Amino acid sequence: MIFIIFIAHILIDFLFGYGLLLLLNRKTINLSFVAESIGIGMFFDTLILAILNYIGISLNVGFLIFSLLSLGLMGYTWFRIERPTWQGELFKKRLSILEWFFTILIGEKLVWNILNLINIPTYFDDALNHWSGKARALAFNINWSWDPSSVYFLGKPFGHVEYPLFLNVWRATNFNLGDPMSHTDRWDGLIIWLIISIILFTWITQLTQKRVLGFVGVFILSALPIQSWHISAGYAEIMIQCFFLLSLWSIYNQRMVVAGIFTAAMIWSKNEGLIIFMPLVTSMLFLVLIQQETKLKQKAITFFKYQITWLLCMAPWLVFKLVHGVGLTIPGERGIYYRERGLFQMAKALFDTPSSSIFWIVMLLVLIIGTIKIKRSSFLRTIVPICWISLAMMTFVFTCTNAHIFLSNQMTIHRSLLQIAPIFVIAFCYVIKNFDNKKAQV
Amino acid sequence: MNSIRFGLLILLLSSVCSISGQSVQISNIFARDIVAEDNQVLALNFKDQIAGIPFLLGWIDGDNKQYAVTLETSKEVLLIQMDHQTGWKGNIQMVGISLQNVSFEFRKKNLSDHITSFSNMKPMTPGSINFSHEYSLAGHSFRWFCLAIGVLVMFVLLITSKNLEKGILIGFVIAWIAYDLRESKNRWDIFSDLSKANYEIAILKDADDFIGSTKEQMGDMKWTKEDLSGVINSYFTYQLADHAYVPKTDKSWQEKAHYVITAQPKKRKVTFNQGRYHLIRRARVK
Repeated sequence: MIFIIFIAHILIDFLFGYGLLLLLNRKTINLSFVAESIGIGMFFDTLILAILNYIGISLNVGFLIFSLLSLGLMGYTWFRIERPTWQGELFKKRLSILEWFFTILIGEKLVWNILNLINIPTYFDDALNHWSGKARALAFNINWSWDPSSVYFLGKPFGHVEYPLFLNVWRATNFNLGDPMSHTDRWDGLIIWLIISIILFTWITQLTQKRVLGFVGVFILSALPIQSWHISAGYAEIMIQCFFLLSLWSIYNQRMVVAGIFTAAMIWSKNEGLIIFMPLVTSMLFLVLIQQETKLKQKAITFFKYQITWLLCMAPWLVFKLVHGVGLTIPGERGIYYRERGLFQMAKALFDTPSSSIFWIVMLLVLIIGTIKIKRSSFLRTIVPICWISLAMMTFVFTCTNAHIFLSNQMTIHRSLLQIAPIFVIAFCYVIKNFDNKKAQV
Repeated sequence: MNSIRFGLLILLLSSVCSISGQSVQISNIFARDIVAEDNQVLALNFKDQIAGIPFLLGWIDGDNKQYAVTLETSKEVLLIQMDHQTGWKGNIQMVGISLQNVSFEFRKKNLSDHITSFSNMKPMTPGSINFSHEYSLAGHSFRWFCLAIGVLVMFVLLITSKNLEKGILIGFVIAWIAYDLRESKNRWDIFSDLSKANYEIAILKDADDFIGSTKEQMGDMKWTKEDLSGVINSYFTYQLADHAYVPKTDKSWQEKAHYVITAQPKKRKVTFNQGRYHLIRRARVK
């Protein structure tokens, strides 16, 4: 039963995203469009339901309202907007033996995670506390309150109040619609991984004009030792990974409003979305804009369109935090200064632990090659700096802020690095494909 | 003298070490006055014990310094590479673990041990989400073997086809597949192990049994918890989220909580207990 509810929930979210993307002038649909639609739908679903719940409407009624909104939006676009055409050229050619081989390797992770989700209970700490624990508190409406003076404010006994509510609301809706005591609360991770895989595959294939490299890229990311665990563990890291990738993908495709929505979804997923990843996406946008031969006014409009979109989407949550004195990050030792041996520990985390194995050694090597050849294409001039900035930002956060503790004890460093891994995979595939090209294609 | 050291080992290690909310005592001292050697392994056979139960292995070196590592029981013989452990050098005064009914053997690692320790399952732990296990082969990390294979393939392709780009790509992908195969084997081993245990995670089993009965006992009354730690602490709040919970941060919790769930009942009257967990009805709250 819970599985049917889960599928129906995804479908409603897809319809909302589908309608909204068509309203935003999409003329063609393809696999990445489907992935984007689900991502957008999940974001607005949880944001709208959280707002409705705050003003006293139950999650079930809220979901009914959202479902009607989705169907209405879908109906409007169906009758009022020109029907989009399906573009499926990525799979027009039959899969080669090599592509089948990588599909099997990727499929192994899919099968393992599905079996894991069906059979193994929620086990890991943060899922039990911050994500599914708070979701249950919200669903049962017993240990939850929107009143800041209550000890149950935002499910405080279960996890940090500073964390945003994307996963809590999405899972609480599933609990409320289905069996609240079932442990099938982590299925969102699987959907999110499929979205990541589709976007990664499409982007790499488009950039390199080699479909097999798209499969290789998805395999490289999926085979990161802790990536497989994160697909079904119920954590929010994979959400950040997904919406960061979607934000950059949308900027690459010059869709600033959609990029703004995905950045908002990233902020709504976990605190790093605002503190680390929003500046990264802004940097990417800046790098794209300075290379365009458009007028300054046009560049400014594009820049602000993105900024205003994410700010407007996130305004309810940010205002709520401001009004109720909820911090942007979890409390800890304050102060920005270099922590002793921080860089050494960071280097060890990158290059000498089984958690990433040899991934970062190879990625950094290829990134250096990309840096040497940076003048060859505008895409290199965008992706190479963004990789360096993201790595520098991670290094700064883990060596100069209170997050250093999580580098020392290895609690979150590897899963934080996981969040920026997809852009390194894209850079890797692009640099390798255009290694000898005097002028790369993009 | 030995009994003093023994007592010291128990006292100090049990005071600092806690697994799943329980104090753990190293009560089984199985070796005294041995010499640490290179390539030395400790083979532990747990006989009929359930796999996945955390335990402590501790030792005292010649300078009276104490060391301990947390490990988990396994179905197969567990091989612990002692010369890789911090503080395993010189004379070792004593070695002990927190489990009974375990047979042990110190020996030099042979080829069969190398293969066994490489292919043995590395269990799922609360930390699996944060970091991966190391797979060692002949005392070296398996990832360096993979890297070496990748570099070799790269050079072969560079020499034969003068194509560095293809060399890096194919070299890395082959190395990555090799590492992934080992990782995948472990994931499937974990899954198979759990399926044999009817998907019950060993450290949660007592908690699951306890929670099932506790819900009936508590009815609509409020509860709080104490002396639980780690993943068990989180597991209780997660599973009992449908019952009104009074956190200890609530200043008036004493007046509100009808029940306490604890691992340390002390002298209080226990309403119900299952394994390590106890439900206590608080008389002051009606």
